[in-house]
This record gives sequence, structure tokens and C-alpha cells, in this order.
Amino acid sequence: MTTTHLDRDSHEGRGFSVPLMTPAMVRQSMDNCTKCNVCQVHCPVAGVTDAFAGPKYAGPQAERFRIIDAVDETAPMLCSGCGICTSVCPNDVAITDIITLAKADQVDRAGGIGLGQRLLNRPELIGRLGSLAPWLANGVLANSLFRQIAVAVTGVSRDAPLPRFAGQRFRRWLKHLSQREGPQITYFSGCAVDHYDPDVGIAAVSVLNSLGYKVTVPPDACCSLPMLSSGDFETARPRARKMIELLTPSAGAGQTIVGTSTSCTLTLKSKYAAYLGFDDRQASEVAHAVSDICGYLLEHHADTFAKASARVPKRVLYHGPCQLRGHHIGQPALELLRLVPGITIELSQASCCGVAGTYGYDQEKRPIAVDVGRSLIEQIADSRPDLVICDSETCRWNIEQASGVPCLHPIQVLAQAMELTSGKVFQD
Amino acid sequence: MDKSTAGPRVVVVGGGATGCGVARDLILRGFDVTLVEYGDLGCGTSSRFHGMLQSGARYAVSDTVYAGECMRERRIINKLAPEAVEETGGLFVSLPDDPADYGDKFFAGCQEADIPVRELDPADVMASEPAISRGVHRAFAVPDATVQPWRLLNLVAADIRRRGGRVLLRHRVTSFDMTGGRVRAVEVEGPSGSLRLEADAVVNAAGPWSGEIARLLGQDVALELTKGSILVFAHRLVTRAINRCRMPSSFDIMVPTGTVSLFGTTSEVVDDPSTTLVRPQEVQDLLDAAEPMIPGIRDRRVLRAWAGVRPIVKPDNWPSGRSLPRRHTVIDHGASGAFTICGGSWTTHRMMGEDAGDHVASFFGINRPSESATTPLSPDGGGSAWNPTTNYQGVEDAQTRKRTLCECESIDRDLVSQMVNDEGLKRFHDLRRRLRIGFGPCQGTFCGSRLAGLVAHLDQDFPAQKELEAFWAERLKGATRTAWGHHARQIILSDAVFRENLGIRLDDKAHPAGDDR
Amino acid sequence: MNYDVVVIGTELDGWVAAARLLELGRSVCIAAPGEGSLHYAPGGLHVLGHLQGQPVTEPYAGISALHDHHPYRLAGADRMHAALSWFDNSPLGAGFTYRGGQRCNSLAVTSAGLQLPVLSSCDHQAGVEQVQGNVMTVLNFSGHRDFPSGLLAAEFIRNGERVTAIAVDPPGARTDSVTIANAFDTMDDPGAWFGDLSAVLPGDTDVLLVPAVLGSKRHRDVIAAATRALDCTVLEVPTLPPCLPGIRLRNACERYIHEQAGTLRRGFRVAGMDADQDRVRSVTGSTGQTIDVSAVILATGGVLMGGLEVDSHGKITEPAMGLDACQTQPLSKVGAEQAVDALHRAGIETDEDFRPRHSGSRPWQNLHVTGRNLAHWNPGAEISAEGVAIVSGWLAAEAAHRELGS
Repeated sequence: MTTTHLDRDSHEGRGFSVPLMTPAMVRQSMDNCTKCNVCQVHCPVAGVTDAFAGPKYAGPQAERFRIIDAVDETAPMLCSGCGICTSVCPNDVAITDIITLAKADQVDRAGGIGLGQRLLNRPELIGRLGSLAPWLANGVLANSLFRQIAVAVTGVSRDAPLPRFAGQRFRRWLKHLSQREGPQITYFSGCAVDHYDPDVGIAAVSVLNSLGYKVTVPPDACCSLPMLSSGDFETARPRARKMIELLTPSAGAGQTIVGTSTSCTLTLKSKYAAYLGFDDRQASEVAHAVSDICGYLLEHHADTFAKASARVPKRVLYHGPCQLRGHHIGQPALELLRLVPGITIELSQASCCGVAGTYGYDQEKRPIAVDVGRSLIEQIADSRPDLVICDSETCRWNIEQASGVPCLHPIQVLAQAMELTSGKVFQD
Repeated sequence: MDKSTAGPRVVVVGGGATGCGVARDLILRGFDVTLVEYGDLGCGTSSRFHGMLQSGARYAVSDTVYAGECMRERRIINKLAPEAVEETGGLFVSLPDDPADYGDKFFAGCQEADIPVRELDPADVMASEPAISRGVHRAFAVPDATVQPWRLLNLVAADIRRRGGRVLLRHRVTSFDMTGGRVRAVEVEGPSGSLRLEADAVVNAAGPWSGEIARLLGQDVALELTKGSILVFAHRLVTRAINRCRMPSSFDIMVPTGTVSLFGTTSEVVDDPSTTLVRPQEVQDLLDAAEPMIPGIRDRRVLRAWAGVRPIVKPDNWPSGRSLPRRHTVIDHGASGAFTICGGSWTTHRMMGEDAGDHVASFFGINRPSESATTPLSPDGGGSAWNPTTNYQGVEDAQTRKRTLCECESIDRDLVSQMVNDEGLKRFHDLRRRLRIGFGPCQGTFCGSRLAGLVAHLDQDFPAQKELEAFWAERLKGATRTAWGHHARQIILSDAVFRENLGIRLDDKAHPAGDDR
Repeated sequence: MNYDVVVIGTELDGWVAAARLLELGRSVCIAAPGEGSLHYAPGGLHVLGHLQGQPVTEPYAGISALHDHHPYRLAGADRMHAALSWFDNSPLGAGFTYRGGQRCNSLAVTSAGLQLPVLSSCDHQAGVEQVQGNVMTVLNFSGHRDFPSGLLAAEFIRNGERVTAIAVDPPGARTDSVTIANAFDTMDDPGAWFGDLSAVLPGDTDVLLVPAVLGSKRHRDVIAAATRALDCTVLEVPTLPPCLPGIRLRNACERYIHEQAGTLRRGFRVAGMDADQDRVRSVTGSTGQTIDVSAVILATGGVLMGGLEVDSHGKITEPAMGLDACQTQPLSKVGAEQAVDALHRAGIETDEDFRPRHSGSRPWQNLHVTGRNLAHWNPGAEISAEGVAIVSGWLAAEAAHRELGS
């Protein structure tokens, strides 16, 4: 006899239906706060600057006042949106989301966001421009005079870790890929893979293929997260709706939609609902279909990696990005990597590398971001690993730039462990 | 002030809204006034109500004349003390189980009472008040407001003192000297011993305790005491005071006040004027009654429950079963020079003072009209309107977060020091009432010991540790009545902080009832 | 993915159980949605400090006065002693350097100027014995609001002690406990910082009492440096939450779990389970992920941390596994003390291996419940939080290990 506590939901085969949290529910969660200060302890931004009052203060505490009347405040604008506060909160307060909603209200009252942030908010647009002539774009970005002008005009920090354009290499590779029939799975590549980090996408698709899946990649893959996290909800709204429509065929067919960008997948899973109020059937079907790729592999294919034959004789440092915490699945990449023979894993002692999406690109916030990331960079300098592994692209670019140590997505290492891309993913 | 130039000496017993109203009216007429309060200003019924400054719309149908009086008084108070009033506005909503014909009667009543009333589109109302029922089929807007009782009473008391009157807090009346059938003196006992206050007249304005004071005067005043209990929700669930569109009754009002919202009230006849006990069943009844107005109310956090006792004078030969009149009564105890004033409401407290003043003045044959409606309360003519976001905005503007002593309510440490140093206030409940320390979700979990640390630092002889014990026991007492959901977690966290960290003992027997709002 | 044991919750009982099981060679996954209550723990090993409102001198002797189903009565004095001794000698306790092993309580100083009985205090924690009769200085950091130094000093004075209170600017820009601690951790030369302090320290100071914020990792080095620089005894007094002594213990626990390759699934909220008769087979998270298990330890922290939930009717439930909660008294008590007591004492009843009842008198075979989830104890009244956590966590681990066999 089997007893089950909890009702299985209607999304068959996907476990439980957690109702999506809408802005009203986000705000109501302020009542759950017991003022216990756990979030204040773990907030990376509050730990390095007195300017930010901390998540408890800027979140549930200030919210009781904000709902009475508009308050002119700086607190929400300094939040990096990393989500650590929400993940450590023992009382289920959606702290980051409360702050982000307040940020959107401030942006609304101020009549919009600045040029620099607007630029950062369109990674797919920048990416497409760069793709037209990556060699030209990379040359221009590397040019310090150009960057100085860009700082003055846009407010984007000149020291920020801008990635190199890779053209449409992933999409081109995909076009020539012939796949065997098999169970269908959708891969959400994200702007990063499409324009900057094609190897991650190639590794992801290769791993999925080798596990027998036939992989579909939707033609457009910008989730609009930078707009959402900077409070520009109105621009994001129609784009988010279009993205839901684009993913509906996959979700409707019962496919899992896996992604290699923890922040994109988190946006699809929960931020459309939390910020834009998208909680209709279509939106929630898509939200429930999305999964972090490592979370999915750990759940369904852990045995394969346990049997992986290729030794990866590497000393690596694993840094779980802050956005991964919002998935509520722990650090699946770490659990998978531990199965790979030969690999020695050191854990990052830092909760955040500082860059937190586009936060570390803002000229004003760059110094805070650097301070936040300092302990991680020092740890890397002390232990000198062969490789740093991290699931999030902006973190990888930041870590690589600041530490000088190559930084890869876990799927690239797993692909090598499965001897799918050996020698291609990283040089021995 | 030179006493010889002052008029007859009047002792007003009771430092609630009524007593303060009476004392101010009398001092403006030239009397030599002493106000005696057994606790702190407004620590009884005057702070144990839903916080509304009524437009009178609530009584538009049941007592249209009284409704009109409320509207007039509400305007006066807002003019005298805008810094204690928030113009929230009020809504009357018809839900499916409210009488269908009440809306029209209500509208007509408001117009007759000269209360500005507007009918609103229910769809707009439901859009702007997301927490309320989706079943609103008629809605009216009226100029209801909320009042911060302690702030207003302290303004009144300051004005009385400024004009040469005396305000004795924590003084209990022990007896009256009525030699020769006339009031001669009032014997009181305070923190530094007993005092004899010579008096030519006495006004008993002791609210629910008026019966007891009357007995000391050798009089019998028949009071009906009704206890009303209220739930305090952790934030503002609504933007305006929400009434049901039906004859005013119990369980029908949700009021946003300060950073919280109050739902009330129960109504039950009690014997003990000092009772503050909220029975568990009352809490359940309040939740059940609030559900139709605010669906899902049981999932909302309630910080505490408290109760107040309302005194109403029972007129002779009043038919049983009929609800007692809301209007106040002044009883002239013959040639003794003693008067009792009872009943009425917060909104009309000034008018009540005027009425009592008329009685006292005519007793002494003084023909000087009341000036309380027109004389500004503060020398500088009053501050700007009360906006509960001011505290938070202040902290944001000054970037002084590290000085914030009570985080939930954004209370600056310097404000507390000032009150301790300048006004000599050290009792935690006195500071709490004046500054709202400990009113927020944590209910003193974090600010309690910070307050104790500060007061002890400013005055090493003050028994801050004992005071902290009593402060916590009191906060906990109200909070445990609503110990469910995350508030239950809060209570256990509070217990962990006070007992497992600070080492404070918790003993019900050591901290009897009192000061528990 | 499967593990021998899933420990649900990062309460002290959960850390202890996980550490013990890893030590015994089991694979362990800790699943917890948020952080645990060690952030609130003032440090020190509180085993049994008060009984009926009176201080307790010998905790082991005191347990006979407790409820029949109190966790200590389920454990018995011998097993209690075994568990606490293990903790004292384990990397968890060692990382924290308890001066353990005693059978009698000593008294720790609180920031309210009161005394709390503690079986073994943590490193450099101020005890009554060490301060009484000495010339004391109480230090606070300007703007640090979570240490009521004024109250502490005033109470010492009231008790006839010689004490001065001083305030100095904290190192670093921020004034909260954790950032001050981090500033001490990253200071190049803490001795020099305390050297500067000696200029304002009253010369006859025997004992310097400081808020317990002198570092979260290097506190022992910092205190040693302070002692050398100031030539007096330097002792810490716990602050309001967040409490560094508790956080240091949490960090030691986490470090040990990582070193032993235990898995931490942070954010994983257990929302249900599959069971075969009286054996749990798997637990499922709120996002649908399933972990296959051979045993489960439920260390979700009782009412304080959401391990038990109270509804508006006063009914208590256990949300993760759907266990029956025992509620001997109605929650709607009139007095605060009684109401809090009822909240504390409600919880899960278990057998001597901390297994809850499955059906009839039969227990679940591979499910254990620990710490604040357990019924019939009151940490506030007994001052026993760490003791019950360690005893129940360790014994639950031992029992799970036995059941798993070789």
C-alpha cells in the first residue's frame, strides 16, 4: 500500500502544483516577517555598504508604509535582486520580489529608467547587433576610448565584464545538427548562449542528445529579465507574454523546458507571475514546464553520470549562483559533479559574486558589486583551481574577468565527463 | 499663574477624551482646573476603540441629528488638531446580505445631516480596495477620518498646562471632602504620596469608572457597561474606513489607522469597568464577521486583540431591549457642586466638554461662553496632517537607520531620548503610547530591550529591567490572543529572545492585567 | 537521486543528526527551505536551566521532574550524557570550543544583566563567576543597537559591582552585529585596533565585557589579540538576534557537512512523501522534485521555524509529512505564560527512538522527529533548547543508522 501526503496536481508527471505567486501574494507575504534578521545576515549588499539598509528594512518593513502612501526612498534601488534574502528567509517572505515591486513603482514615478539600463535591458538586441559583425563589435568594446564615451552616455561601468560576441555560432551549429528521434525536450538557450556563450548550448544539446532526447530550441530566447529586475515592467509585459506564447506548444505537449541560464529559467518559472501577474493557465503551464538543466538531469539521469567513465582530473571550484536559490532545488550541479570520477571540488564560500545580473554593470553600483564579489575572488586567488564552475553567465564573465581563471557552466564539464566534447570544452 | 486671579477651582476626574474636553473647556472659561487621571492620558476607553473620527454617516439613519453633530465636531477637531487626524475617508458598502433599501435611506440621511456623501461605482471601489469582497453592489464615500487618540489628548493636556491648569497623571481619587454638602476638596494618591486638592466643584468624567467615582461622591449613577473587542491586523488591508451599509451594529467596521487596520467590535454587557479580557470566542466571532467583508481574513496576520469598556448612562424608565442612546448625558448632582458626564463618543468629546462647561458655569453664575471650538490647540496653530508614512520617510531622508530604535514603526532613538530627557517620561508604556514603540509586527521583540538599554543609560536609577519584564509580559498578553499563522512564530521568537537570550522570566502572576493596549 | 537519510531542516538537531550519520558512513542530504534558528541562539549549551521557575544546578538530576514524554525522559540520563559528550568532542562542538563535560550548570551573563544557567558555555562567553567582584568595563559600539549595554551596566551597579560603560566607533562602516564581526574577521591587525581602545579604557579594568561580535570566523584570534593588547580579561556577552555565537556554530556545522561531502539542498521545501506502510520511501519538494530515501529525520523547528503550523482555530498541524500533532492544552489560554506554554508543548509524540506513531501503537519504521517539533517540552521555561536539539538529533541518527543495517 502506498500512502501519499499532498495532492498530486493536474500537471501530470510534474509533481506538485505550486500556485504561482502574483504581486498581491508577494505583497501579502510581508505579514510573514518576524523581523528575525536572518535576511540581514546573508544580504551581500548590506554586508558591504551602509547605503543599503538591508532586505528586511527595504522589503517587508518598508512595505507597510509604502501601501499607505508613496514614499520617496533609495532603498529599493540599491538592491541587486540576487534573491538571497528570499532564499534564506525562514518565514516565506518574498523579500526580493517585494523590493523589486517597490523598485518598479519608483521607476514608474520617476518616468522610466536611464539609457544605460535600457541598453543593458536589451541583451538580445545588443547581441544581434554584435552578431552582424562580432569582430568589429569586440574591437569597439575593447577600445578604452569607446568605453569611456559609453560610460558617460549610458552610465554603464567601464570596468564591467562585457562578454565577447560570438555571432550566431550556436544557432548555426544547431542548423546543421541531425538528431535521432526520441523523447522530446525543449532547450531554452537564452541570450547568453545565442550571442556570447555558444559552447554552453552545444554542450547542453549534446548531453541531451546522448541521453536519447530530441531537442527543440525555440527561435527566440530573451526572457526580459533585465527589464524586470530594473523595474521597467511596462516594456517587459508584452515581451513576456510573447515568450509564454512561444513556449506554449512545448509546455502544452507535456515537454520539459530545460535551460542553462539559472536566471532565465527562474524568470520563466516565477517572475512573470510575481512581477507581471501572469498566473493564467497558459502562463502557469509554461512556468511549471521549466526546469534548470542540472536539476532535471539530477532528478532523471543521476545514474548515467555516476557511471560516467571519463575521468576529469581537475581541481575545480564550484560557485552556485544566487539566482539558482530561487529554484528551490539546492545545487544540483554540485550533486552531479560529485558523481563524476576524478574531479575534486572546492565550494565557494561566497553567496554572490557581486554582478547579480546587470547590477554590476551600472557605473554607480559597480563598486558595491566589486566589494560583494571580493571574498570569492580572494578565495579563487588563494586556492588556484584549474577551473571555476558556475551555472550563470554574467557570474561566469565576472569571475573570469576578475580572477583570470576560466569559468565554465557545469553542463560543459558534464559533457566532457560523457566524452561528448572532450578537448573542445576546455583545454587540458 | 497667580491663583488669586483665577476663577472657581474645579477638579476634573478622568484623563480620557471626556475629561480632557471638559478640563479644556473650563480653563478657557477662566476656571482654575486640575485634571486627575489614575493612569496615563487616554489609557482607558479613549484608546480602546476603533480610532475613527466619525463623519456621522454611521448614524445617518439611526439618529440623523446626532449624525449632523458628529460632522460638525469632526470638522472642528480636524481644524484644531490636524496633526492628530488622518483624512482617510470612509466607505459604506452594501454586500449581498445587507438590506437592499438601506442605501437610499443612508444617502438621504447623510444629506439631511449635511454630511458630504457620494455614491460610487462598485467596480471602481472593488478595484481600489483589492482586499474587500467582490460582492459590493452599492458603495458610498463619506468624509470619515481617523484620530490618533494619544497624540490629541497630549495636545489638549499640554494646552491645559500652558494655560495654568494642572494635569496629575497616575493619581487615584481616594475620597471627596463634602463637608456641609458641598464639594470642599478631593483627596488623591499618587506616586509621591497623597494630596489634598481644594475644590469648589468636581466633574466626574471617569468613563466606565464613573459609577465608582459617583459612589465616592455619595451619588448613584446607573451605567450600562459594554465591552467591545477589536482585532489588530498587521498592515493596512484597506485604504479607507469600511462600514457595512446597514443599521450600525457590532462586527461591521474595518478601520485603517497608523500602520495597521482594526476590525471591530464585539459588544457585550459587563460588570467590571476594568476588564480587558478578550474571550477566545470573541476572536472567532470577529473573524467570522469579518470574512464577508474581507474574504480570506483568517489567512491575514493579526497582531493582537484588545477590548475597551464603553459607559452609557441608562436614562430612568428606559424601555428594556431598546439600545441606549449614543448621546452623552450630564448629571447635575444638586447643590453639591458635583457633576457627572458620561456616554458620547470621541468625535463629540469637545462638544461634551462644552456642555459640561455650560453646567458648571451656570452653577457658579458665570456667563462666559465656551471658546473651545475656536481657540487653537497649539500656540503655533497646529501642525500638518498626520501621515503615518512620516516616520519611515524621515528615516529614509536622514539616512539614520542605525538610530532607529523601533524598526517596525521607524522610531528614531533621538525622539525617545528627547522624551525621556525633556518630559521625564521613562515608563515604557508611556513612551510606547506617545511614540508607537512596539506597535508593529514584532510586538516589542527587538525594540523592548533597546528601549530598556537607552532608558537605563539615561537614568541608571530607573528600574529598567523590571520595566522591561512588565513591558514584554503586556505585549505578549495581547499578542497570544491571536497566536496563529506567522504570529505564532513571532510569539515563540519573542519568547526565545526574552527568555533564552535576555534571561527574563515570564510569570503571569507577577504581571497582572492593565496597560495592555 | 537517492540518499540513505534525508534530514529535513537546518536546526541544530538536523545538523547534529546529519553530522553523526556522515560520521557513521551514511549518505545524507539536508533539505531546508530557509535558514535555521541557530541565528537566534545566544551561544552556550543550555540543557536544563530552570524548573518551575527556579534555577537548576544539576541538569541530569533534574530530568525526573519533567513530563513522562519529555525528550529527556525518552532519552534517559545515560543516553543524554552520551549525546552531549559526543557533541563536546565532535567537530561541531570542537569548532566552537565548548568547555564541556561538566555535570553542573554555571551561570552566564545576559545583556539584560540577568543570569542564565548553562551546562557548558561557549568560548569566551561571560560567566557570572568570572566577572563578579572584578572591576568591569562594558564596551559598546556606537550605533550598534542590538546590545543594551546601558541596561547591563545599570544592573551591575544595582548589584554593587564596579563598572564603567564606554562606547567607541565600530570598525567598518556599518553598525550591525554581523558586519562588525566581518570587519574584525578581515582586520589585518586586531591587536592594533584594541591598542587604540586602551586609550579610553579605564586603567583599573579587570574584565572587559564586549558584545559577542568579535568576528564570525576568527573570533578566537581577535579575542586573544584583544586580551594581549589590553592586558585584561575580554569576555563576550550575546547580543539580540542575529547572534554571532549561534551563527559561528551554524557555520561550523555547515563546514563539517561540506567536508564530509554531505549534500545541502537549500531552498528544498519538503511538501509531501510517499510511504509503503510504515516506511517512508521518498520525499517530494514543493517544486516536484523527489528524493528517494531509506530514512528521514524531521528537524523542521516546531512552531518557531514553521515545522508546526497553527491555524486561526488554534489547531496545530505538521505540514511536511502530515503527522498528527499532540495538543494537550487548548491554545486559547488567558495568560501569556500559559498561552506560550501551550504553543511550546504542542508537537509530535514519539517513542524512545524519536519515531512518531504510525498507526495504533506502532511507530513509523524509518522516520524520526527531533528538536522543537517534539511535544511536551518548553525551551523558554526550561532553558533547554540546545540540549534537546543535540540529544534528540544524535539519538535519532543512532536509531536511523541501526535500522539501515550494514
